[in-house]
Amino acid sequence: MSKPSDMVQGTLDMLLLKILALEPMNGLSDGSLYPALHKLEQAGWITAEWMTSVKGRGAKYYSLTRLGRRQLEKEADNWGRLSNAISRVIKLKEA
Amino acid sequence: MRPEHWLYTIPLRLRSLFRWAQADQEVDEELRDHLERKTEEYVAQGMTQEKAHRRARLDLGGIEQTKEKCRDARRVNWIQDLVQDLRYAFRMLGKSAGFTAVAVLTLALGIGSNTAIFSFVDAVLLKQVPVKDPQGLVFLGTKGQSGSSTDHSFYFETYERLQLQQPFFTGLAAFSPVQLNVSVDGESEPPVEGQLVSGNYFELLGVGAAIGRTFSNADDTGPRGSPVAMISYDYWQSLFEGSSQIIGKEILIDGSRFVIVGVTPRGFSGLEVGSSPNVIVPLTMQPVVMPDAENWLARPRNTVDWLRIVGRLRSGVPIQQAAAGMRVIYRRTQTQLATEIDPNWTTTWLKEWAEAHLVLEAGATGISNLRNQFLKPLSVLTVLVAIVLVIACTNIANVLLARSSVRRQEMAVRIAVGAGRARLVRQLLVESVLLGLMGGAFGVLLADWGARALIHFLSVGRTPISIDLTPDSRVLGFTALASLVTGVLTGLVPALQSSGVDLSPGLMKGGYLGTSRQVFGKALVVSEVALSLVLVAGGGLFATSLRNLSDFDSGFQRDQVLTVRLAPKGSDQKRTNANRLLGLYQQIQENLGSIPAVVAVSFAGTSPTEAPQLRTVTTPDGQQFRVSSAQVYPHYFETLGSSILQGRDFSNLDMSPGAPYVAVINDTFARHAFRNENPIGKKIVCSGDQACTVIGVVKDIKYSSLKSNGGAAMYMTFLQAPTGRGQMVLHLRFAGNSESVMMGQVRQQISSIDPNLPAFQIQTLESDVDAALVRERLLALLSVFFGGLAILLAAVGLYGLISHIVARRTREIGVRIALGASRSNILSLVLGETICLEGLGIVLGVPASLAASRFIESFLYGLRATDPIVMSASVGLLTVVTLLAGFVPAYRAMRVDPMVALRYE
Repeated sequence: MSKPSDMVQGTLDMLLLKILALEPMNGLSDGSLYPALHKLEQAGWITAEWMTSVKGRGAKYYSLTRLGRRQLEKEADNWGRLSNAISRVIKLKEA
Repeated sequence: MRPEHWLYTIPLRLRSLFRWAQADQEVDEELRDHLERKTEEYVAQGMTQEKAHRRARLDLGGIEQTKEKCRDARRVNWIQDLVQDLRYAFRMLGKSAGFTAVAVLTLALGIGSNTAIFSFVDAVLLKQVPVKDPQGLVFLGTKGQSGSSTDHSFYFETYERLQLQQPFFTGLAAFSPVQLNVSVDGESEPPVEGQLVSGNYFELLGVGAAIGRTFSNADDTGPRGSPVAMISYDYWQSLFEGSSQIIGKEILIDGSRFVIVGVTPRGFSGLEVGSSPNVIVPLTMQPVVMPDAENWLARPRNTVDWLRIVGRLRSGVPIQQAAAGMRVIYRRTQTQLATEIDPNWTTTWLKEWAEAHLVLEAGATGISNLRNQFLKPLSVLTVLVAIVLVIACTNIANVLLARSSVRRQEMAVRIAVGAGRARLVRQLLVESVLLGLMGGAFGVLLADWGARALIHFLSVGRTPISIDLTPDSRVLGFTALASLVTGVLTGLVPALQSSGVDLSPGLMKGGYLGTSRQVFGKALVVSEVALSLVLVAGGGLFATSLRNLSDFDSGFQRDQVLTVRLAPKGSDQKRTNANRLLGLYQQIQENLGSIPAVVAVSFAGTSPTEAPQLRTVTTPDGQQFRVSSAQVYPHYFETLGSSILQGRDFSNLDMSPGAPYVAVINDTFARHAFRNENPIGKKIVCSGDQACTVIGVVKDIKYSSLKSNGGAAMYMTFLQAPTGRGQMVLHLRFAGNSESVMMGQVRQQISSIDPNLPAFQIQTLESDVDAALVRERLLALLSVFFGGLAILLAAVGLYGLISHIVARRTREIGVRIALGASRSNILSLVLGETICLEGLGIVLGVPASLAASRFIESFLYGLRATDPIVMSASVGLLTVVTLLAGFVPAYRAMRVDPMVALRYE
C-alpha cells in the first residue's frame, strides 16, 4: 500500500475513536466500517458489549477504553501538528 | 507494547484463536443486526420489504467479504489457515496410507540414524560435566615428542609435588578408577566400579552431596586415611532404595570396614566420560581397598602411574601461561623423582621421562579414552548417516514429484476457485513437513534403540562403557531441526512444480505431463545411485579391511588360547613375597598343565591386545633402540603359537634367583640391531644398567592395534624386569576341548590352588582380539548397514520413477504394441531408460567414491582406498540391484494389453 491510503486509514481510526468518545454507539450507518471497528477492538482501544436494544433485539454497543482515550489524544495531537504544518506550508506566499 | 495493553489484547487474541466459531458467529449476528436496521430504515423511506433488504445488502458490499475482512482484523488467520492445512494434510496422508507408511519409515531411518550417531557424539564429545563452572577445569597430561596421544596418568609422588609447587590453580585434585568388592550386611555384592579421589576433589569441583557430606582433606590425610565412603545416587537407589538411614552405615570394601558418609548428586558420575563409579573412597585408602596390589602411596618407590589430575585455574590466569609454568615445574619434579626413587634406575627413568612434557587440556567436557578412540570413526559415521539422510530425502522428493503430477487436477481446481500460489505451496509444504516430523518422531524411537545397541556393541571390551544417552535439549533440537529441514527439502521442489500448473490442461482429464518434472525426477534418481555407490564402496572398503585384520598373520594363533587375568595378593614379585608368588605361579602352571587337553601354560604382564611398555636398549656397538618390552614366563611363545626362529625359549632355570640376565628379541629387532650377525649370545644393556644375553629370536608378534607393524620388541622374564606387577595374564593353549568346558576347568583348578585368588575375565584370545578390533568392527558393521540401506533406497527410488514413467506412457506403449512393436522392443525401451539412469549414476558415483575414500584411507588395513576389486564389486552389486528394480516395471510395460491401454482414458 502507498503512503496516502495509510494516512487515510490512520485518520479513519481516529475519527471512529472520536465518534465513540462522544457517545457509545450501536452499529454504523456504513456497513463497510465494521472491519475497521473490529481492528480497533482487537487493538484494545474500544470495547464491545451485547445489550438489548429498544426493540428487544440483541445489539452490540461499542465504547472507548482508557487505552483508546489515550490513543485518541495521541492521534489528535499528531493530527493537529500535521494539519498545522500542512496549512502553514500551504499559506506560504509564493515569491 | 506496554503490559497494560496486553491485558486487553491477549484475551482477545486467545478468544479469536480458540473460540473462533463464537467470534465468527458474533460478527454474523452483528452484520445481520446491521442489515435489519438498514432494511427498516429503507422501508421507513417507503421501499418494499424485499427491495429494502436488497438495497441494504448492496450497501454492505458483500457479507462474506466483510466477514473475511473482520476475520483478518482479528490477526490470527494464519494460525487458522495452518490448522486447516494440517487437517487437510492429515486427511491427504491418511488417504494414501501406503505411501505415508513408506515415506515415514524411510525418513525415520534417515533421521533416526543421524540422531543415534549425534546422540553418541553429544554424549562423548559435547556434554559438559555437571560440576560448578566446568569451564574453569583443566586436566593435566603428558605428551611424547612425536605428537603421540596424550597420557593422563601420573605417579602419586608427582601429584603431591605438583600440588605443593604450582601457583596457577586454586588446587589440584586427583582421582583413579578402581574395581571394588563390596559387601553389605554380610552379603557380598557383585564387584562395582569405584573411584579413589583426593580429599579436595568434591570441593574443587563444587559438587555437594545429595545427602550426608562429601569428603574433606581431613578424610584423606595420615598414613592410612580414614575409612569413609561415598556412594553414587544410582547405587543408593538400587542397593539401599534411597533410604536416608544409610548415612553412618558400615559396609565392607575388600574386607575392610568403611562408613558411608554421603551420596553424590543425581547425574554426577565423575569426570571420566564413559564410566560411572558407584563407590568412592579417599585416595589414601588405596592400599586398603586394593589389598592385592602394591602400596602405590608408599615412598619413594611409587612408580605406578595411576592418577588423573584435574585443576581449577585461578581467575585471570590464562591456560597458556599456566601450561608454560607447569611444564617447567613438572620437568623439575620428575628429575628430582628420578634420583630419589632408586639410584639404580635413575638413568633409565631419566631417559624415559625425557621425552614426555606436560600439557594442559580444557576440562569442561570431562576426560575420556572414548574420545581418542572414537573421534575419527564418529566423524566418518556422521558423514555416512548424512548421506543416508540425503538419499532418503531424494527418494521422498521423487515420490512427491510423482504424486504431484497425479494431483494436478486437484491443484488446478484449487487455483480455479481462487487459491493463491503461495497458499498452495504452503499447503504442500505443510504436508511434507508433516511427513518429516512424523519421520523424526519415529526416528527418535529408532535412534534410542540404535544408540543403545551401539553402546552394547561397544561394551565388549574389558570395562563396560556407560554413557548418559538420555536425549538432552541438544539432541532433541538436532532431531527437530533435521526433521524440519528434511520436510522442507523433500517438499519444496515438488510443491513449486505442482503449484505452478497451467490451468487449462490441468483441468482436462489427465493433462499432458510436463517434461521438466521428469528431468528433475531423473536427476534425483541419478544422484541417488551415485550417492549409494559412495556408501556401498565405503562399506566394502571397511568390511574388507576388517577381514584383512582378522585374517592376517599377527605372529600368534588366536584360536584355542584362553587368557585369564590374575591379581594375587602382594604381587610385587621382585621385592616382596617373591618366593611365595613364584611358588604360586609355578603351582598354577603345573596344575593347569596337567589337565589333559592343555598344551601349554604361561604368564605375561599383558595380553597381546594391549600395548606393551617402551624401553630404551643399548646394543654392544653402542646403538640405542626404542623397543616394546614385555615380561613373560617360560613357554610363552609356545602358548601363543609363535615360532622361535633362532636360539631357545626361556626355561625355568632363567627364573631362579641369581640366574644370569637373559632376553629374547624379535625378528625386526634382530635385523635392525645385528644385521647379518648371529644375535645369539650378544649382550644388550636392557634392564637398568644390567646387560642381558640374547638367547633367542622370535617371529614378530603384533601387539595392541594389530595394525602397527610391531617394530622392535624384547622379552624378559618377570624376575629380571625392573617393575613389579599388580596383575598377571595367564595364557593357556588347549586342544580338543570346547572353550566353555576349558574355562570351567581352569576356574576350578585356580580356586582349588588358592580360593582367594581373584581370577577374572576368562576369555578366548580370539574374543580378546575381537574386542581390540571394536572400532574397526563398528565401522565395518555400520558402513555395510548404511550401504545396504542406501542401495535399497536407490532401488526403491528407481523402481518408483520407472513405474511412474511406465504408468504415464501406458497409452503410448499400447499404441506401439498395436502398431506392431514386439514385446521385447517394449522391454528394451523401458530397460534402456533404467540402464541410462543407473549408468549415469555410476559414472558420477565412481569418481565421487574415489574422492571420498581418500578420507578413510587411514582406517584401512591391507588395501588402498582406491582398491579396484572393492570398487568393481560395488558397481556390480549396485548394477544388479537397480536392474532388478527397473525390470519389474519394464516387465509390467511389456505385458500392457493394447486394448485396455487405448480405452484407458
